[in-house]
Amino acid sequence: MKSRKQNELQKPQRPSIKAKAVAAPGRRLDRYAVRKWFFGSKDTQGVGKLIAIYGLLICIGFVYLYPLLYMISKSLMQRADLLDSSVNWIPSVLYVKNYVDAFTSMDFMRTLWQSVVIAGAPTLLNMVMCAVIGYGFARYDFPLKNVMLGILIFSFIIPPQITMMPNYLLYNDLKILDSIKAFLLPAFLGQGIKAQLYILIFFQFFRQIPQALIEAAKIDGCGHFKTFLRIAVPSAAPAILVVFLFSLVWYWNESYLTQLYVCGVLGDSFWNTLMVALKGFNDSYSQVGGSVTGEAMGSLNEGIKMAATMLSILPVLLLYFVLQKQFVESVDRTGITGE
Amino acid sequence: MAVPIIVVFALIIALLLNAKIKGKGVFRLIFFLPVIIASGPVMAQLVSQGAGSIPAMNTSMIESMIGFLPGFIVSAIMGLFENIVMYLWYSGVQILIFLAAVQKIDNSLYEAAKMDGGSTWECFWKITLPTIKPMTLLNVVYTIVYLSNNEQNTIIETIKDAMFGTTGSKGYGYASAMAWLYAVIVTLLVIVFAAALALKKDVYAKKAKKYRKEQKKQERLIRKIEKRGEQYEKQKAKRTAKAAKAVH
Repeated sequence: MKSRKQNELQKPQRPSIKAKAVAAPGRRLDRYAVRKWFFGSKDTQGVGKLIAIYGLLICIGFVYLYPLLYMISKSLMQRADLLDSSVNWIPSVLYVKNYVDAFTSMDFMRTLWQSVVIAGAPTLLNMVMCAVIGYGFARYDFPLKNVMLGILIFSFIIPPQITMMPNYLLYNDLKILDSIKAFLLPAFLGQGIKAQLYILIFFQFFRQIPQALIEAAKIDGCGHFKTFLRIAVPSAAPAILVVFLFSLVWYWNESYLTQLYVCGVLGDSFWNTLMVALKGFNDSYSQVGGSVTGEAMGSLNEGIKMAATMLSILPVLLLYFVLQKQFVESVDRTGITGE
Repeated sequence: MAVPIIVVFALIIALLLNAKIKGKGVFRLIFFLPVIIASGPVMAQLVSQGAGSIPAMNTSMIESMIGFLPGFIVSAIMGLFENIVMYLWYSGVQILIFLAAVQKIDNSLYEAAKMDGGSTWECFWKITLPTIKPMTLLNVVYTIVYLSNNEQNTIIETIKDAMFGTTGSKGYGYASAMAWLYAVIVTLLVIVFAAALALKKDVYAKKAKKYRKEQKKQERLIRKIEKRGEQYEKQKAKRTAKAAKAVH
């Protein structure tokens, strides 16, 4: 749109016929330059395209960012600001005590450490086991392979709410309840939370490795294991990263199953995660700040609740911010794709 | 209807995030937010606070704009606009999967295509899309499963009620039966979508398989001939031996 406007602006400024004749090739070139500037050419990106990209990204990004901004703004508000209807987004004073309160009542450092262990250990196991299983499905032909793939997908489709109770009874029989083993053992056997999805991701990635590459490795004397480590794993680096992130986030966010299997239903176990702490936050807050009563408590809790929520998702955000640079680098390093 | 929308939308966002832009890290961080927030108790809290939807979404204006179309199209489009925020929230995982897939495409492919005079549009259809086809299938399957097994889904709620509900609860067996039936129906849906996206096998793999098959056939033929030859030789030897005996 912008380029057309500019062309229209140029029209009335047209000089005399003589000058026009002289300038004609130049003008055409000019128009071409404007078009190039706006739409971009094959190897450069035009301004218009950039505006479109940024516009779309910012608009959609705002939808995602909105709750986060809401949380940040509410978590920094005093009790008076929360009750005052004239204060909408920007708090009158930066009130950090919400965070301090949330920090102490959640027992943050200890809970954080336990969350890292509970989310991290099954994630690592998940990554390794799902990679192996996915590689097996992608590379080897064995009887009933398609049937097994079908069962895998079907087990993904069954609502997880149904399998919860039988699993609980099974873990009870195995005596692995109320300890981290209840997460580690299924993850080791490729049955972790949403492990089917990770297996499918690895399956699709490993299938894309050209057969020629694997045969070349075979000729050069690589065994099955070495082929997997040297060729399949490096070329699936983005998949590994994605699986790691998903697995970590889902284990991190899983409050219900964690409470059921690891922390114990009664809540008197050694283990505790940030999400479980967040869930039981109302109770723990009323114990710490018992002096607050009546109407004010609901809205006062809101600021601190938001602060606690922020604290509980902040570690994952930071981790992702560090890891997302790997997205580009890992691909550059391997450089074996396509045929 | 939500499935194609979510998948296509995720693909577009992944391509945009893969473009050469400044502040990539920040944008990627923002688009990772739904993965964190949409799972877990944070989302439920936010929805209860009313932060899950855009406050200033003027739907009536759009409705009057497209009013000349037949009724069912209008209602479909309006449904899209009303739920678009929810669709956006559900597409976080798919964006990341697509991003990983797009990054694995070799850059030299694009360079070669550009040398041969292909435009960006053509590059997208001829290189990007075929390469990430398996990932598209995966995303479609995931989207169906996620949408059908979501906590907000009414059928799941019914099943949960039947399982844990105290009043008028029909017990665990009844709930399990419902869940099985539901799973079978979803499986049929997945099969339909997967068949629509049916994967063509790699050309190389196809050729290799064909070659191996032919090789095996030939080997079998050779073995057969050899066997026959051996038998013939044996018979010949026997015959000669007999003849020799007879002569003696």
